[in-house]
Amino acid sequence: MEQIFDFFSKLFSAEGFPARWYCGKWTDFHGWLYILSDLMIWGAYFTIPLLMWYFVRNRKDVPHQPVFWWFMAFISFCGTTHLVDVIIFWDPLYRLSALLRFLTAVVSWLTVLALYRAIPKALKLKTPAELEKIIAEKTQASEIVNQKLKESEAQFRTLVNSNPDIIAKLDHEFKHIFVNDAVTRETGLSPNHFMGKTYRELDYPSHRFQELIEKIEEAWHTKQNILFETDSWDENIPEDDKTYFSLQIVPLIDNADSIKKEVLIVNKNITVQKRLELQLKAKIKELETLSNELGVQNKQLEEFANITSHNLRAPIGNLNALYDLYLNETDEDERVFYIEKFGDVSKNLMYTIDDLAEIVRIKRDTHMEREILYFETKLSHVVSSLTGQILETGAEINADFSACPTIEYSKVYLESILLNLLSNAIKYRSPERKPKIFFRTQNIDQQIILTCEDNGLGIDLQKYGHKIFKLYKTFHRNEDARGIGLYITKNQIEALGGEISISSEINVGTTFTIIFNKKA
Amino acid sequence: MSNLSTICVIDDDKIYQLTFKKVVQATGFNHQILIFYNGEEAIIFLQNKANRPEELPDVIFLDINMPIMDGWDFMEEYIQIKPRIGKQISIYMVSSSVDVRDLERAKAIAEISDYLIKPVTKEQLIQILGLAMN
Repeated sequence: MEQIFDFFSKLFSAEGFPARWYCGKWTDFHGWLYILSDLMIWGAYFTIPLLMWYFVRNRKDVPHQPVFWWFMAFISFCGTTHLVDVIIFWDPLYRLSALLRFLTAVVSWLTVLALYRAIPKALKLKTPAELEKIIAEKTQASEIVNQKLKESEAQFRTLVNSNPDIIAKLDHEFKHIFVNDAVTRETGLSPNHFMGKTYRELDYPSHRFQELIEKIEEAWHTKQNILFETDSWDENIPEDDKTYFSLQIVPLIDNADSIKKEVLIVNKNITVQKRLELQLKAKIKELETLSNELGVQNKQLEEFANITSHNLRAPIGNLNALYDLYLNETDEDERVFYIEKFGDVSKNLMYTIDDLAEIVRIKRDTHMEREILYFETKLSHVVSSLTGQILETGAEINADFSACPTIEYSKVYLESILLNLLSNAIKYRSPERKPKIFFRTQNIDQQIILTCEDNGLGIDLQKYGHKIFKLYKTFHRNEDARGIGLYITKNQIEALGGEISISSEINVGTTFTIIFNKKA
Repeated sequence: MSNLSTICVIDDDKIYQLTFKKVVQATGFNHQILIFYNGEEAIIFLQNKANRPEELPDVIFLDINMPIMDGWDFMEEYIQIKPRIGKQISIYMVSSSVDVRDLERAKAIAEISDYLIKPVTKEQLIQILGLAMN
């Protein structure tokens, strides 16, 4: 311990040693050869790490940097020992020299260790020759891939160009960046004519262009393909010469870059299919109309079967029964009574037959002569023909025909319709209040509508709604009710393409609504 | 009086009512006749007399075509109130209609005993009233 303490306390002292010049027999030549050689070594050993430091700093990608640093430290320490050796010629700092040599030894071994650990990795580093070989191989491989890509692109291009559909690619400003050869067949223009232009610049009608842009924006937004049909964009072409297309819009979006939005438009000429489809639709419509007409005729036949079955057979049955009773009766007064009843029945039978004849006539005459009629005039005719009943009941009749004062219609039917509506309203008045009847016309969607509103008895539509316009159906205890008026009215209206409906509330009133020219 | 049969006619045709009455008389049955002009009047009567079987009819002759409530509507209402009526009543649908659809519709209703075509003869009545009395 004493020695160690003594060593460090006299580290920078030369005590106990002579300067090297005076230790042994140094000739000047020998001494200076030693000194100069050591100085040169020291110079070189300090220059090497500086150069290495410069290299390492400028090539940060060089692997095994720690090894470089250790080597730089090692060589610097080596250099220092040589410098101290020179100093010792004049100032014999042997203690400092020993310490520096010890540090040099430590750093040297640490460098050995670092080198030892780095060697396996360093061995794996590719030599430039190896790297060049690798690059050459890769280049060749990519050339093959390129070649294949070119072939496949050529194939794809041929495929796209020979496709009968027009395939176009537009950029984010709707300008053409590609269009296949099919466009030439459809427009007579070469694909080059389209490149870099929008449909607007290509003279398409602006509202069609707008429609297309909206669809494209939608496709970009939803990231879904959109398929829609359109006809040839020239509006001056007549229906029969029109070309029809189905357009598929395929959005192409780069999520990271909104400028890279593009769109594929596949335009298929579907004129042939569309023509067939339109023809088919027209045929179906024809068949539907025919089937409806048949349905109506069928229903009318059923109705007639029902009428003859009930309303003609009933009085004939009565006549038979009366005749039997008459034959078997001996009392002369009774026989006269039967004969009188005979008369009643045959009179009723005649009414029924007249009704039927009227109904048949209405059903047949769907092409009645039409003329311009004023509702006001027709209503006043009807009112004057019902003067007796109106005075008797104190009925108040009002009308507002201002919205639609006239109609082109059958004069006979309009009078009959107004007469039935008015006489019904009076017949089914409430005993508790004076009848108030209001007529009004409207023109809605080019349909002429007449309403007749009363404050009468009303009718339970839940119960009788389905029978209200049927023949010989009556719903009130009323001796005059024969159940023919509304049936005739409905038939007249329907024969001329109209429709009648009813709304009613018991003991409040009834409103009949007639649409004279019902739209399909 | 035990043999007195109560016959109900629901029909709006006055001539038919008259001839029917005469034919019933001709059968010689001890009877009384109830006449209603439509289904509704008859239903109201049946509802009111539901608890008095002696006043209820044994047989109903029901017309199809009538104002206010026709034969079909009457049957719907009747089926509703039937459980409360304290008497077995035979119902015959009587119509001048020879339409097969009317016949089939009547047959589909269990409460209708038979479908008769007008005019109803004396022989038919004797058979029906005979059945009802037993």
